[in-house]
Order: sequence, then structure tokens, then C-alpha cells
Amino acid sequence: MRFITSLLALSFILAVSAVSQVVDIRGVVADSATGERIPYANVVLKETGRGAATNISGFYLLPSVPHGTYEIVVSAVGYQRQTRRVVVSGTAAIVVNFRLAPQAIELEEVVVTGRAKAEQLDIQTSVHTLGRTEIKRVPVAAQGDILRSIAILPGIVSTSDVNAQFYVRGGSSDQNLILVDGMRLYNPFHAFGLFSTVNPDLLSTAEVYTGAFPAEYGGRLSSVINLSTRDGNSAHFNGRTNINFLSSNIHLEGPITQNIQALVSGRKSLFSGTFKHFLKQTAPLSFYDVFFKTSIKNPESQDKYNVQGLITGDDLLAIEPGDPTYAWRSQSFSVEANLPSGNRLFWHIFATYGLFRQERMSTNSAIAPVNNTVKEASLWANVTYYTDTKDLYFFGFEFDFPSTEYNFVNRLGEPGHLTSSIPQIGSWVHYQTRGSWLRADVGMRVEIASMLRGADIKATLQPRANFSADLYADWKAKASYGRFSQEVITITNEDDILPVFVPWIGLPNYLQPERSDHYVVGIEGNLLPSLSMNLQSFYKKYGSLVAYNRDKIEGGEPDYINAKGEAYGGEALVRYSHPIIDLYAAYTLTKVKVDLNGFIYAPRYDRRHTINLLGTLRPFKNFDISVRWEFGSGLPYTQTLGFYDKLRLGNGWPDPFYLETGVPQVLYGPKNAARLPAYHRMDASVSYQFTMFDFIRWSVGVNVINVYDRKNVFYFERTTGQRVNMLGFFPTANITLEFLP
Amino acid sequence: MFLGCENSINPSAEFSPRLTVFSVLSTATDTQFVRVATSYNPPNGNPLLNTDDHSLADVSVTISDGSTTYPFRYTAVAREDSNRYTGPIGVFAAFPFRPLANKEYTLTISSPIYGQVTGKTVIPGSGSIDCFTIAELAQPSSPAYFGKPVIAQFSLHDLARAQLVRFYIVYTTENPGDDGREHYYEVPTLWRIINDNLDITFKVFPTPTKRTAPLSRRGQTFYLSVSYPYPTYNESLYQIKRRNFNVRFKRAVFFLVQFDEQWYKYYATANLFQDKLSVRVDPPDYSNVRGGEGFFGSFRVDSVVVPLPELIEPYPSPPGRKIFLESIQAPLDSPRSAHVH
Repeated sequence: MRFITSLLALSFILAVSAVSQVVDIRGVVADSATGERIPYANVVLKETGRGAATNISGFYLLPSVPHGTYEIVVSAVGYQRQTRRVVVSGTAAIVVNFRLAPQAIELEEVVVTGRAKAEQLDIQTSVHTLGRTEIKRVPVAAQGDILRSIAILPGIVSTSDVNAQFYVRGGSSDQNLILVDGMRLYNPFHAFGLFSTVNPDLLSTAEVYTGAFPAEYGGRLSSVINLSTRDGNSAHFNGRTNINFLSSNIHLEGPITQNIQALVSGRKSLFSGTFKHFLKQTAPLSFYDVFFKTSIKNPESQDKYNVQGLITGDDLLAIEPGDPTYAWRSQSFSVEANLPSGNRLFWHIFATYGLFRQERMSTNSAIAPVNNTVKEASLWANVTYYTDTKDLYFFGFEFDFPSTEYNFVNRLGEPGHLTSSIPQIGSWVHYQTRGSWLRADVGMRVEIASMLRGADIKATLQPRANFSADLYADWKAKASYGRFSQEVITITNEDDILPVFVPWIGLPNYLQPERSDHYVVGIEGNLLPSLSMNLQSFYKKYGSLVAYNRDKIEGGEPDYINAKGEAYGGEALVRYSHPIIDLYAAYTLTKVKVDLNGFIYAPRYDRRHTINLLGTLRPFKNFDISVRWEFGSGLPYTQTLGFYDKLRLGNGWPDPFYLETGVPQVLYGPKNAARLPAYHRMDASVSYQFTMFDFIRWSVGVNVINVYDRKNVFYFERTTGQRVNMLGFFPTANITLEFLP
Repeated sequence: MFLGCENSINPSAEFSPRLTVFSVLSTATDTQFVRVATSYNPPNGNPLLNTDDHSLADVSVTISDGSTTYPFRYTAVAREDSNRYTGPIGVFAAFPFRPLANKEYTLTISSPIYGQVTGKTVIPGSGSIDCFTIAELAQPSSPAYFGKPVIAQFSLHDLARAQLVRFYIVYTTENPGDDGREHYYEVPTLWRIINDNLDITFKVFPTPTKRTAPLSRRGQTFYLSVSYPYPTYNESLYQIKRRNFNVRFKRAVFFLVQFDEQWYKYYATANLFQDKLSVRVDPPDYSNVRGGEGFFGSFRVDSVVVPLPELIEPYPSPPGRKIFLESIQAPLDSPRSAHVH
């Protein structure tokens, strides 16, 4: 017995001794000029080849590094590589922070391909990241715009020049979760979608998940747009102002103290003035937005705390007397914490509050006033646990309390008041492992509140899985699956051509949550060192969708019922990258069907073919020429078969029905059976940047929208025969003035 | 896919006229009517530019109960509403034809150009209606009655999908040229004085409502009731006397109208589901006409009569009546029901 006890004690001592021979190395990677943390940088121990990538907060951890002397090599796209020698000894974790210098020539990662993707995202099949350069490079109306830029990505369909509402892999526009620093945006667009409410100058990264997104995200069926903003400059004060035909912008940032940076930016539309002076037209639109952010971070610490807010407003004024006026207002605020905890945990926490209100006002008694309010408070926390290997565990929770209010007058002239408060409580865990040739990320999200409300178990237990396997050279095969649910939706008449007022409501309790299952397979790799390719095929099954109850006859029957649907297709993305020229081509094939109790139809956004071509030429430093061409096959619409005069039957009796004249009732053909003409358009832009007096940087640019003046149909007024086209040939110019430190 | 140069759009499919048919069989009359027209394709797709009602005269219209077939003949009746069309309304009529309850009728319209369309309806059987407050109606008005409602109780046949109760006061006058003709004055369910000096009032009348009574079981009959605030009856008497010369009241009549399923389905969709809570904005449609548009439905009318003394003095005389009318605690109904006198 004594022998056994001694043996156990010896084993314990040896074990402790062995454990004590390894320590963790951790730290953050930041921009040397601005102090901005750099996500997705690669950190590698040169001697062993072991590596890790920084997370979205720029934090990395190399676990259990044996005692010794190492060279740590850190690299990130757009930054100069840095190497540092580190002596690993003792028992406490070693903190090594890096500050990388930006590269002189921008080679910023743009659309993720198989060649240069951050490790965290490497397993996902359907994720794209956009950097600031890419966002600015896509020619759009006068200024860069994140939500219009993502429309070039495969799988994303935009149906209109003047409406940035987008449809991802056959999902409707309310199925996209748009986050800005954790804040959910319910109205991410200005001016009917001509711009997004987030100024692209503020963005650090944009992650776009077009399917099978990770377990941290829930509450939407189709996609996640996760936007992260920059911190203010920690070294110098900096100011910038921009003006173009459509808006003006002013931006200030800089250090408040050594550990606190602030950033504030505001935009205001100039529509009414420029349209009146240059086009002799009335533009009743106006908008503004203000973003502010305060960051608290110690350069020597890995903690980081942010407080940020986004305030936006839009107005649409009446053109003719009696026309309604519209107003949209939103205020969103969030507090963010990024902090390591214990030896191996990293917490990422958001506490947010948002208020969105939209309103239609009218002095015309024939147009009823309506308003819609969404209030939402949420707490989101995701914890990463770093294991001894490169494997990671993620777990977390989300408490989300959206409440909606919709005041309206229905077509009977009856005022209605629709309110809902549907708590969303989600919890998740997933495990990420990296073998020699196979990587996997498997997990589960549980919608606890939905489960307690008695929702179908299929909607509340949501497995998520992603696999990535090496094939040959740097080619990879990928597959993923995920289940998603949604309980806050918009209600619109799908046949509206330009929905101006789109109210958000909580799902009525007689309906099951919307539910979808995503299946994705694909391969990606490099055809040539600078030529990458990504092929994907997807199938999206909608087990539950909310749709108009076409069989409704009378009161007491539900307005909406649960329908089913499916979407499937394929995507191809080819990219050629070179310091002088950048070429990008994306093709998407999609087919969407909605099944309403056996009545099957294609929704309005079922665009079969979408092609996006983008070329950027940089013939010399700070001079860019970009050309973009987009093609979309015709969207579905319902043809008119004619009209008949429908009798209303008065008050029933004794009014004789046969003396009524009746009111015109349109006779529709098969729903969405016809197709509009194909859409195509070419845009071009030229921009040049130069510095004066060493402290003023100028950016001047000229954009031409619809270079060959294609008459793309926007809508056709069914009752008057009037055809309205989208944007024609439209040149714009912009100038940006930046005060350098 | 690459036919991108094609840029024309046709919002309309190739136009092919369809027969549109409206017919409602009624047990309350010996003449039945059918309206027949075609759908139309107006200039620029704008229906308000259409100036022709597209009625058809050269079609065959019959209604059959299985044993008897009733032929209809084309006629023209004066149009009351000439906002859209100015000519008379073309209708098909059959006389004498009083349909029977519990029978299925088939409407058939045949056209050598537009083909044949059909529709079916079954008229609900006998319901019942009675008045429980005969004494209050027949006696001279008294403030003692003002807190009590006038109640009519009724029951429905199993085929009735919706019902409507209407309450009329029948009277004669000695107005110049009246010649002893009987007049009907409908009593509203709500009557509110908006401006007494300008004589602007707000009245609400009953509309067809969905059946709420269960179907009869084992001979058991379910009764429903409708109540009218007594002041509205009193105010009706007052207005009749005020506006006419030497009024003689004859009787009060309660009518029960039972609508069949086809009639109600069409009516509900033509009036936007009759759903005050609906958030829908799409225009619903319904038709039971096979091969065409429109509908073929029916209703049955029953009534109960309460004799009235010829001379009733409404109580109280103005200006006190305003107080009683405004004491009615009822919500305002749809603005569509507003009437200005």
C-alpha cells in the first residue's frame, strides 16, 4: 500500500512538473499607427509551426508552449510582417502584444477566397469578409456603401437600383440579421435603400454569412451581416470631411487620454439642394445619421471596452398636397466588453438597447396614419475556451427582449393596435477542432424561450455543423448544415413594387416560428497563385414560413398561415488579385419556391441568374479605376388578365344587387408566372488621392452610374400603364478632405 | 439568360374575355335577376378609362331546380349611379319565379362566343323571429321604457351562414300627393346627435354578420337576439312625425334575412373579410361560378309584425330628447355608416 501511495505521489509530482514545463503565450495584435486591434492576424511559432489567429478583438492565445526560446511571426493582410524573439520559462502565461505597421501598398484582403482566410472563418462554407478598401471600390451612387457592396457577393440578390433590400439564397429581405457592434438594425437603409445607415468609413470589418451561420447568431432565417466599427485613433487627432451630390459627412477621432479614444461621425443628405439645382427636380427625401464610439483599452492589456451609438433619421415629404409624409427614426446603443478571463477563457459581451419607429402621417382623410415601433434590449455573451491543442470551445447565451407595436387602419377603416413582446432566450455551445486534414465546427443552439412557449421542437433545437477538408494542394472541400428560426417578421404585400412602409411585428401566437434548414457543399482553392476559385451549392428547406392565407374568407380566420418552401442553387466566385489589377467575377444560380397548402409559386425575388463582374486597376499609386457590371435575369411578376366590375352587395338587403355599378377588380394571371426583362448595368469610377502641405489629404472621384444608360424597368403601374425605369446615366462627383496629424 | 437586350414589358397576358355573373335568389320577391357581363381590357390597363359596362344580352340564362327550368329574359333598368357608366343596366329577369327553401338551384349561362358557366346555391329553410317587447312598442312612449331595449329573438336554419335583422316602422301620411301610400322608416341600432342645431346625426344600421349560432341538434333550436336601444325607436317616431303631416303609424316589422354560404363568402371578401382586426392589404376575391367570375347565392326573408296604435306621441319632446340619445353608451361604428340629414 505504501508503495502504491508513493508511486501515485511520484506520478503526481512528475505530472505537475511536466505541466509546469509549458506555459501559454497570449496577447493582442494592433495597428501601430492607430492602435486599432487587428482581427484574423496569423500568429505562428516559427520553430514549431504552431499557430493561432487573432479573434475579432485582435486577441490570440498559443496554449501550452514548452519552455524554450522562440521566434513569433505575426502577419496580417495589409500590414508588415513582424517577428519577435520570446523566451518561454516559468509557470505564468506570457503576454506578448504586437503592433504592426501598415504596408505601403494596400493588399487588403477583400472577398475571402481559399487563399487567404482567417482560421476562425476557414471552416465556414458561406462567409465573406469585406475590408474598407473593397467597400469603397464598388462603384455605387456617389459614395461607398456596405450594403450595396455586398450585393456583388454570390448568393445575394438585389432587386432594384434604388432599393438595397437584399435577398440571400432565396430568403426574403426580413430574414437578414444586420448587426453593428452588436446592435440590431431594423431599418438599415436611408432613402429607400439608396444607402445604408452605416457610414463605410466607420467600418473595420464586415462579415457576411450567406448561409449555415454559426450558433452565436439566431433569430433570422437566411443571413447575418456582422459589421464591426473602428476604434478612434489612439495616437493622433484626425478629422475628415466629405461632400458629394447626395450627402455631406464630417468625421472626428482621436485620443482623449492614453487609454481612451473617441470617434464621432455624422452625415446629412443634400438631395433636395442638388436635385433642385442640377436636375431641376424635386427630391423630397432627406436623412441624417450620427455615430459615436468611445473605446477604453490599455495598449499593454488585452481588455477592451467600447460604448457606441448610432442615431439615424429619414424623412419623405409630400410632393403633392394630400400626399402622405413618412418618418423613420432609430436610436441604438451598445456597451461592448472584450476580456480574457482565467487562463484560457475569452469573453465577448454586448449589452444593447435599440428603438426604431416609423410613421406615416397624412392630412388626407383617405390615407390613414400608421406607425410602428420596435424596442429591443439584449444581452449577448460569447465565451471562447482555448484548449491545449488548437481546438476551441465556444459557448454563450443571448437574452433578447424585442417588443413591437403597430398602429394602423385596415381597409375596412377600422383602427387596429397590434402589440407583441416575444422574449428570445438562446444558448449555444460549439466545438471547433483542427486535424491534419480535416477541420470541423459542430454545435447546437437552443431557443429556450421558444421552447417554453410550446414551439415545435424542430424550431427550438438548432444543430449547426461545418466541415472543411484538405483535398489537393490548397484546395479544400467544405460542407455545412444549420437550422434557424425567426419570430419577428415584417408584413408587406409581396406584390408591392416599392414598399415604403414595412412594419415589423412579433409572430402571432397562432403561428409556428419560421424555420429553415441550410445544406451547403463546396470546394475552393487556387487555380493559379493569384487566381482563386470558390464553388458552392446550397439547398435551403423552409419547414415553416409565414404567408398570406389565400383561403381567408371572413373575420375569425387567420390573416397568415404557415407555408413551406425551398430554395436551391449554385454559386461560383473567381478572383484574380494583383497589386496593379484586381478582378472579381461571381455567378449565382437560384430557384425559389413557396408552397402554400399546395399552391406553389415563385416569390418576387426569385432571380434565376445573377452575374457580377468587378475590375479595379491601379496604374499608379493612389489612383484607382473601377468598373462593375451586373446582370440579373428577369424577376417574376403577375400579369393582369383583365378587369371586371365587382358588386359590393350594399348592406345585404333590401338594396337590389342588380342596380349596383360595381368597382373595378383586377383579374390576375397565375401568380408570378411572367418574368420582367433582364437587368444589366455598368458603373465606373475613378478616384485619386493626394496630400497637400503634409497635413491635408484630398480624395477626389468621379462616378458614373449606368454608363450605357440601360433602361432597366423599376415598376410598371398596372392601373395606368405607366412604366418607370430605374436609374439612368448618372454621373456624380465627390471630394474628401482629411486632416492628417 | 442572355436575352438582356429585350427590354419590353407586357403587364397583361393576352386578353381573353371571361364571363362575369352575379345572381342572388330571394324568397321575398316573385322576380329574380341575373347580371351577365364580360371582363374587359381597358386602354393602358386603366379601368377608370373604361366607359362600357360590357353587359351581354345575347346569352342564354336559365336557373333550374332539377325538375323545373326557369328561362330569363334580357331587359334594361335605369342606372342610379352614373359616375362610371351612363347607359341603363342590362339584366336578365324571370317572372314569376319565387324560389323555395332547401332546394338546390343551378344557374347556367351559355354564350356562343364565351362558352358556358354554371353556379349552384341552396336557399336556407325557415328561420323564426319574434319580438319580446310588443307592449313597449305599442304603448305611447314613456320615459319608463328608456332604460330598456327593444328585443327581437330569432333562430336560424342550418343552411344559413349569415344573418341580418332589420327593424322598420310602417306609417302613412297626409303629405301632398302621398295618396295613403305606406312608408318604411328603418330604426337604427345607434343614433347619436352630432350637432342638434344643424340637425346632423350619426346613425348605424345592422349589416350582415357571420352566423354564431351552432347548428340545431336533436330538434333543439338555438335562439339569438338583437336589441335596439329604446331611445332610437323613440327618436325614429319623433323624426317621422316631425318631417311629415298627419302621420298614422301602422305597424313595426322585424325582418330576418338568412344568407346562404355562397352569398356570405362573396360578401365577406367583397367587403375585405368583414374583419375589423385584419392587417391585410391585399384585395381578396371569391367566386363560385365555374368557368367565370362573380357569384351565385341566395337568401330567405322572414318577418314578424307588431301592430302599432296610429297615434303615438314620442317622449320627451325637444329639447329633452338630446339628453336621452346621448345617454346611449355605444361605441362609434365605422365611418362608412355615417349619415348626414
